This record gives sequence, C-alpha cells and structure tokens, in this order.
Amino acid sequence: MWYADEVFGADDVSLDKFTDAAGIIRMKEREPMRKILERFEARFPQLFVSIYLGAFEELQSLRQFGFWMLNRAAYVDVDLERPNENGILIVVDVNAKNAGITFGYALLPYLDEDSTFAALAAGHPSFLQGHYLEAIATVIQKLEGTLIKGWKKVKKDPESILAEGGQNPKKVGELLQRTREGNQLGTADQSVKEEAQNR
Amino acid sequence: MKLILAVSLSTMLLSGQELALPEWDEDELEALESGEYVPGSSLLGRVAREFLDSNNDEPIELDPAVQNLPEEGFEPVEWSRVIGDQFLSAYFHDSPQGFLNDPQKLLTTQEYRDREGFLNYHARDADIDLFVYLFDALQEIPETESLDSVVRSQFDPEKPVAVVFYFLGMPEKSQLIFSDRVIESVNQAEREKVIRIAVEEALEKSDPSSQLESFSIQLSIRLYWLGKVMAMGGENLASSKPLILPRIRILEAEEAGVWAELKGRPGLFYAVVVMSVIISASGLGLMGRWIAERRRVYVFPDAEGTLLLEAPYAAGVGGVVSFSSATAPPSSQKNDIPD
Repeated sequence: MWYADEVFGADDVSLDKFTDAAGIIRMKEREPMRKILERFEARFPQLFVSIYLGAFEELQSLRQFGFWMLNRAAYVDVDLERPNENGILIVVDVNAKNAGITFGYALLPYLDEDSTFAALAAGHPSFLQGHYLEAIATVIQKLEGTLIKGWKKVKKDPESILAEGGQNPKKVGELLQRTREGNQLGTADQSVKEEAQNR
Repeated sequence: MKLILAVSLSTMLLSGQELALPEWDEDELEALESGEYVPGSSLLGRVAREFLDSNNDEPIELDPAVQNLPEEGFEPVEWSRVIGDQFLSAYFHDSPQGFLNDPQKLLTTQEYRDREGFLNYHARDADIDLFVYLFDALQEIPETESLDSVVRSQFDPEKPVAVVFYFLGMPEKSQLIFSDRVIESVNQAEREKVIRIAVEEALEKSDPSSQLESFSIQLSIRLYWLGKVMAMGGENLASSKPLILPRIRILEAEEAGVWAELKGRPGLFYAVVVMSVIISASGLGLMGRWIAERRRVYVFPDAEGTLLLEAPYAAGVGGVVSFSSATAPPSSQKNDIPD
C-alpha cells in the first residue's frame, strides 16, 4: 500500500461513486448509470459499486491504481452503512483501453480474479464498441450473478466460505464501530496511514 | 514417306543440323506428274476419285435410293387424339385402383409416385376425396363416354368425392365433377370456382408435370375448405351470394364443437377445468417468483479479517481486461501479470 501511496499520493480523495474523469459518458446516459448503481445497492444493501472512467496519460498499472483508489477514496454519495471494504470498484482507462475490478475485504469470499475477469469479459463486446454504459451494465449484471451464487453458498456454510476468503464472522459491536468510522473523509485506518507515511 | 521423314528428322536432330523440306520419292513424283496420283484422294473416297478421273465438271448427284428416302415428319395429329381401345375400360368402366388413374403411363414412375402420394395425403386430411384421371393433351373423350357417367357408375353418390379428367400439358381442358353429396351442400358457382382457380394456378407453369403438381395442390386446398363447409351443413344453395370460406368462421365452429363435446362429457370437462386452474396457478406462481427474485435482497454475513498489503479497506485485486483488439478474444487480452 505504501508503494501505491508513493505513486498516487497518501491522502484520501473525495469522490462520487460514479466519476467520469475522461468525459466519455453523455448527459442522457448519466441517469441510466445512476439507476444501475442504485438497483445494485437495493439488491445488496451492504455493498456498493463505484465506477471510475479515466483517460490516463501514463498509467503503469491499472490494478495498482484500482487498489489505491478503493483504499483512499472517500465516497461522498455512499451510505455510511457501506464502507469501502464492501465496495466494488470498476476502473476503465479509455486511453489504454483497459478495464479492471477491485473489491473490498468483505467480498474476498465471493469474488476472485477469475470471476471478475469473467464479468469484464461479458462486457468486452460493448467496451470494444465504445458503449461504456452498456458494458458497465453487463459487467455489474454478471457480478450480481456471481454474488448471488456466493450468497447461496455462504448461507449454507458461512464459516468455511468466509474462511476460504480469509474472513471470520464479525462481532456486532466491532461492526457498528467500523461502520460508523466507515468511509468518512480522513478517517481511514490511522495506524496504517501513519505506517505508510513513515515508510 | 513417313518413314523417310521420321528418319531424316531424327538424323538431323542428332546431328544438330537445320530441318530440311521433305523430298518426293521418284516413283511418287512420276505418278503425280502423270496425273495418276491425286494428292488428298485417300480422304475424298472412291466416288470422288472416280469423279476426278472422269474429268467431268457436272455436279455429283445423289444415289436415287438415297434421294427417295421418306422424309421424317410429325405423326398425324389424328393419331394422338384417340384413346387406345385397350385403355377405355381402365378409364371408363373399371373402378379406379387409386386416386391417380394413368393407364397410358403418361407420367414417369417417379412423377406418378409423387402425385399419387400427394393425393393419398389429401385423402387422409380432407373430407372430399380427389380422383384424377390423366389423358394426353390432345386426346378427346369418346362420344359414348363422359366424366358424369364415370362418376355415376364408379362412385358412391353418398360419399363426398371430386373426380377430375386432367389433360397433361393442357390444364385448361380439365373437367371436374363432384358426387351428389357435395353438390347438395355447395352451390354451383363455388364448385366452378374451384376448378377455375386450379387451372389458373397450373397455367403459371410451363412444364406439364409441374402444371399437374400445381393443379392438384391448388385443387386440394380448395377442396379442403369445401369439405369444411360441407361438414358445417353446407351453404344456402338458393342464395346467389358467393360462398365465403372464412378461416375464422370455421375455427369458431370447431371451437364451439369442442365446447359442446366437453359439456357433454362431465369427467373430461372437470379434468380440463382442473388442468386449466393448475396451469394458470403455476404460471402465476412462476411470475410471482420471478418478481420476488428481482426484488429479493441479499444480505451477507458480516465478517472481518486481517489486513493484507497494509491496505485499510481493499486488497481484492480482480481481473483486468484489455479491449484494444476487436479480433482477439477477451481471454487472449487478459492482463494476468501480477503487479
């Protein structure tokens, strides 16, 4: 993380969950995009999806950027009940024509590199044609399917499924505390930040 | 001569010399100069040789035997107008062996099978059977015989039957007569319309076999609907209004018939009602489930774990795909190199 901080900066950044820095989404496509994200949040009340469309000049690693962004972003339009560790970030570099997915700790038991790549591959035809709204809708739909499968599995055997993702059932008190601290600007894990700055 | 030419040619080729023109043999040269040998005479034949030897300038006349050969011409038209006596009984006196009657074998075996197969299919599907008698284009029905007499003598008047005399290659000469059972139910205008439309359809084709095919198919379609009208009790024959064969009316009549049959059989009626209710309930249930699935909320168990890569919120680095090439599949554009 410290390396990513060195590359992109160690400060938290304030963002909307849908950010079109590349300016490729038309005005009339913004409302459908918002509805897609809201629909996802309605189905998965603990999770959220964030989209970042960038036109990077020299981005060495899209993975690294996604990893840094989900850890450093403070989403101003995401509920406090949905911390970044419950988030899925879709980053698209429209210059290099790359798309990647990063997800929080809470989703480690349900998502992995293969399933997220499969979701991106489903949107590949639309990405090729430059239909970014359609592509993102397809990717999210595919992710929903994967999450629902994971939900069914974890419902049957929560401990082993969570353990596969390196997670353990959380106690209510800690959950409440972490949710309150959540993704507010400047409240990211201070000890980690300090350690990164020291390095 | 050929031998000399071949030997000299091969010798020259071996010696590398240029090719020289062939030279006359002395005997042949003498024969040529004396006029005894005519170049090319072996090709012209004996008659030409004799003609040249005779120094006669008059043109060669054909042998009288060859001149008197009879010219090949068309058979007299009268020959094809008459139906052979040996076929008369098969046409006009014997009961038909099938729906297609072709005692003169005007159709090829395959064509016969195709047409007969179609007429058999029609008979299975339609209420009015169709019998086709085949004649040659120019043939004429003997004055003592008629289609009417054939129908009256060979077919049961109570059975719905249509009999056609079809002239292969001249569909416009075709004749169609129905049995009394059909005549009682369908007015004359409609009966005439059936043959008229079939003939028009046939005339659109040029090949006699294709004409017969189109004719029989169109006739079959019209007869099918006439059969339905007949099954409904027929039309008002006194009316001058043309008979209309609306598909909807027929379907409605069929539906009404099914409903009446159901009401007459209580067991079947209740079974159908129960099945309808079950199917409707299943459909509604599936639709409800689909709606519920769409509105379903998925809540995951809360969990926590150790920090990875010193990241406070997210260490789940997923897939990256490139979409720079439209020809390569996504799998080959997977960026799976760890950062």
